[in-house]
Amino acid sequence: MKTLAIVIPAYNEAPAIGALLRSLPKKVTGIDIIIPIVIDDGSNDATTQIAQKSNAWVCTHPINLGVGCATRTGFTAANKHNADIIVTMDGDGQHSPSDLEKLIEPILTKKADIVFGNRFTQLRTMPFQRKIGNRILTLMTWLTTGMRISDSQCGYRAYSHNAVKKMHLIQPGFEICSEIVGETKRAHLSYAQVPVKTIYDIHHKKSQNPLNAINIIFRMIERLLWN
Amino acid sequence: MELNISPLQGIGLAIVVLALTKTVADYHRKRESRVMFTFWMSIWIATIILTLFPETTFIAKNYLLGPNQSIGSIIGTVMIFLLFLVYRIYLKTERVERLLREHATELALKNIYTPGSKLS
Repeated sequence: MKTLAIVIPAYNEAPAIGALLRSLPKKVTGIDIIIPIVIDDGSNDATTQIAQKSNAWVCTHPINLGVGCATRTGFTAANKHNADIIVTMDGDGQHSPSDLEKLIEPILTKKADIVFGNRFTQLRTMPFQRKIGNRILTLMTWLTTGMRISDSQCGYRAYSHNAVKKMHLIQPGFEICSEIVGETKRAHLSYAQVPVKTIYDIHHKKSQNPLNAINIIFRMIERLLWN
Repeated sequence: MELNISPLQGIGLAIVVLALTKTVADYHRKRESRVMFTFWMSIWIATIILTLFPETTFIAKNYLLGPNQSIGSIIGTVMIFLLFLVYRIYLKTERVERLLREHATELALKNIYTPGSKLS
């Protein structure tokens, strides 16, 4: 019996989380059990309640810890229930559930341990400042890890059970995206890249703080030098 | 001895006296150990003396370094000490944050909601 856990870190995503959970596929080729796991990262809206009513498993952090911590909580919850494949996706509905099957296909066929989603085949829909920010961080990820990943900051990824066990993740915030790329190399994990759609609407136009990028770069250098 | 205190000295004194009273209060509430209380009281009292009698810096400099050396060495040493303190504070906050994250994550996993459980 193959189990797929869909880990969704969410912070104040009450407007989007219900629709996202309802849009998740009920059947996926090669999978017997699908478990959506929402990690509410200390939201101060109704994210937890909406996720519970949508029949997802829900872990609620008492305070906001960061997407890195939320992702690791999701990995732990998925491993405790012996998930064979773990998919992470953003809680704001930016990622299309219709890409789920092609994201996990390389893992099901044992061609890869990790599959990175690549949004850069759909650049028209991405806001300009996000394009620039993502390009810079992808370049920095290549410089600090030596890994050429087309979209190092996309949270839509699939992992085998083996990959999650082998990675040693410590970063608390968005820098986990780059950290996972580094860990892929360190743990000699095989990987694949798959184009994925992105959905940017009014809800998604809330922009990231540009200072996050500086923090991410600093954390990547810190990890490279001292960890 | 006549004391001519400039406004800047007055502000500096006020800040140091506040810090001193906080140290004393913390010691009385047993939030501070005797060693750390003695250490910080020495620092605050030395600062008060230096603020009220600035000429004592030259007496101290001549005693520690000799009359032909500049005061830069003392300033450099003090800067290093301050940087060391900042580094210690950074390490402590990193450790506290890490422990906080670990405990919060454990709590979240312990109370995981699964469909069929009671809604929160």
